[in-house]
Amino acid sequence: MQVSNGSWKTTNKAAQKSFVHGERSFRAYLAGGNVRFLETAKTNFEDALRSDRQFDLAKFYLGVTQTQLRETEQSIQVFEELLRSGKTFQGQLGLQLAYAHIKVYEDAHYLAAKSELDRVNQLAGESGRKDLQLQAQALQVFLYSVMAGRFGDGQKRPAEYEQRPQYARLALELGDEILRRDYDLDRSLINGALFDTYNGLGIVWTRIGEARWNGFPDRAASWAKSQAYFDLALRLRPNAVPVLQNIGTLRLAQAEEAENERQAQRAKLLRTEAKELYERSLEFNDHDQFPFYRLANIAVREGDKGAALDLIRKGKERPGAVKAAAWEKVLLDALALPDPS
Amino acid sequence: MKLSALALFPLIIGSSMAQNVGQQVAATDKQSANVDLALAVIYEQGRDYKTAATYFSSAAKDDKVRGQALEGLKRVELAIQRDKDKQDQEALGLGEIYMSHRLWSKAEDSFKTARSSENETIRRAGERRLNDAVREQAPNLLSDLLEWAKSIAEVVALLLAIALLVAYVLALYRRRRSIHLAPFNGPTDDVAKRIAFALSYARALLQDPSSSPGNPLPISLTQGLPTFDDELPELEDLDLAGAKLPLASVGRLFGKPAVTVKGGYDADTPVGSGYALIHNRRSDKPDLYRWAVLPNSQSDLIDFAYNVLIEAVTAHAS
Repeated sequence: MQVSNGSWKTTNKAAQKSFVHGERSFRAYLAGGNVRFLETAKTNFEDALRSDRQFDLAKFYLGVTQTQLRETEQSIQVFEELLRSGKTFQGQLGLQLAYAHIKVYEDAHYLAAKSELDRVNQLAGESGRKDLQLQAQALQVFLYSVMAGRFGDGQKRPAEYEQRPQYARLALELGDEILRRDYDLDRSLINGALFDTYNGLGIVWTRIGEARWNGFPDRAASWAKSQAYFDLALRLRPNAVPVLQNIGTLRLAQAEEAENERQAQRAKLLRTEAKELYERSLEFNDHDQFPFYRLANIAVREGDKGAALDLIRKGKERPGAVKAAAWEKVLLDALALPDPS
Repeated sequence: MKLSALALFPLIIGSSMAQNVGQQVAATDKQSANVDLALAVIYEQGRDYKTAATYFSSAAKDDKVRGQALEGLKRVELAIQRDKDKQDQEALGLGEIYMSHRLWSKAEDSFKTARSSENETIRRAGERRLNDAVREQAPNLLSDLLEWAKSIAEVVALLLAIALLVAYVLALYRRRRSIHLAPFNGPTDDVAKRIAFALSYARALLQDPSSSPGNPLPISLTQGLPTFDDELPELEDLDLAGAKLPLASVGRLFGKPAVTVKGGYDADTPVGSGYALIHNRRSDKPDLYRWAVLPNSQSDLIDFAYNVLIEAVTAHAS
């Protein structure tokens, strides 16, 4: 669904030019281009706003790019300002605000994202906006799958931690409902929502298998379901980078189980498969540090010191959400490996 | 009572009323045969042969004048026939005139009149020419059809010419709003092909980045991103629909694209250089852009293509 805001919301030529440059740069980033396009986009949107403070569309896009650059505090502020001034961008503002909250990866923000998506869902239902409702619900599945794996902390916030299975169940219920429904909407929009739903369900079944919560199918069945949903997602978007990396995560979880069951050979095969998946994802988008981090860990596991250090170096040059402590650990592990003979 | 025909003469000269009066006199007053004979002669002289025949027939009842009456009757009957033949001949001639003007229906009517003549020669001629008239009409339908088809074709050709002109003007207008991307240069054909592929691929992804496998965001977030009405114009080739028409020079003069992009990539090692010359029609000179491109790096080449397209679209929006 492309939503037009009508004609240019600015008559300022300099602002127009900056906005066009920024919007196309952002598209290049979305298409898998270098993260520099994202930074250029942000600079252009800021320039557009300097030329015209009332250029709301540029402000909206600035918020979107800030979320991607993990400047979520700023992006949330931008989105909330726009909401207070009455802008909605046909409901897309609420979705972007919710996503910005999710990307903070903190419990309070997960709950804020949940509230925002509930609000958008309700408004969409009341105004008969089935397209927006579908998009909001697909994002909710994604949110619940993230919360099923990250909400609370076993040590510091056990109450929230105990709610993880509940969010897993919410993800499953909502996902099933989305998949069961018939839609009279644009086909590409339906496929987009289905892709997000399949990916979200794949993630949550991976978590369920890892956690082995009561009241859920066993690990093997959970991971089989996870793989099935990831396969469905890939059928809609072959080689989709997020899905390839999620399957890689599933393989690593399966490899760890194999190690625990003293099936070293099987574990090695699973890690090799994970490595191929991460490497394949890099062919389409090598601008995120996460796959490099995972590959570095696999290299450490395989005893390949040189590859591990090279991957750590490359990964740290790229933006991402891998915590500094995690990088430090894998670096220490790599340095502890014997030098290649 | 003997009446002098001469005494009656003023009453019956050259008028149908006189003829009627004469008939009434002969029928009702039972005048002598001589009077009938005299009247018959008068009518004969006046070329009213039918009336003359009536009086001759009446006079022929009297033995005294029967011989003259019968002779007179024979004369007027011949005259009547002669007149009829003349009329039939005239009908034949009229039919020929109608034939020459291709008035088939009227020609047929005239020949039918001639065909009903008692004169055998005229009758046969009428029959023959009637058949000729019928036969000649058939080819005429074909030529009428051809004439009609020709008119239709002329109208269609005119409409097509108008449509082509309108399409040409619209194409010129569209071309003036377009971005023209010339083939990029490279040190080898292989490099040039790689650049061409990268530009094409990058362009497709820019138009719909949601569908790109490299999209890191949920599709539900990116599909709904608001955009503006002036979407990316189609990148045009140099060839135009009317390029082969005599108006091609007009097209080159007035159909200059809004933005023209040229460039190349040197594929140099260890770091290559890609460039683009982007010329906005409103500017005097083009702007030069350069980017570093790692050789044998497909992602770098795609990024180069993205950069070229972004600058081209921005120039177009200026």
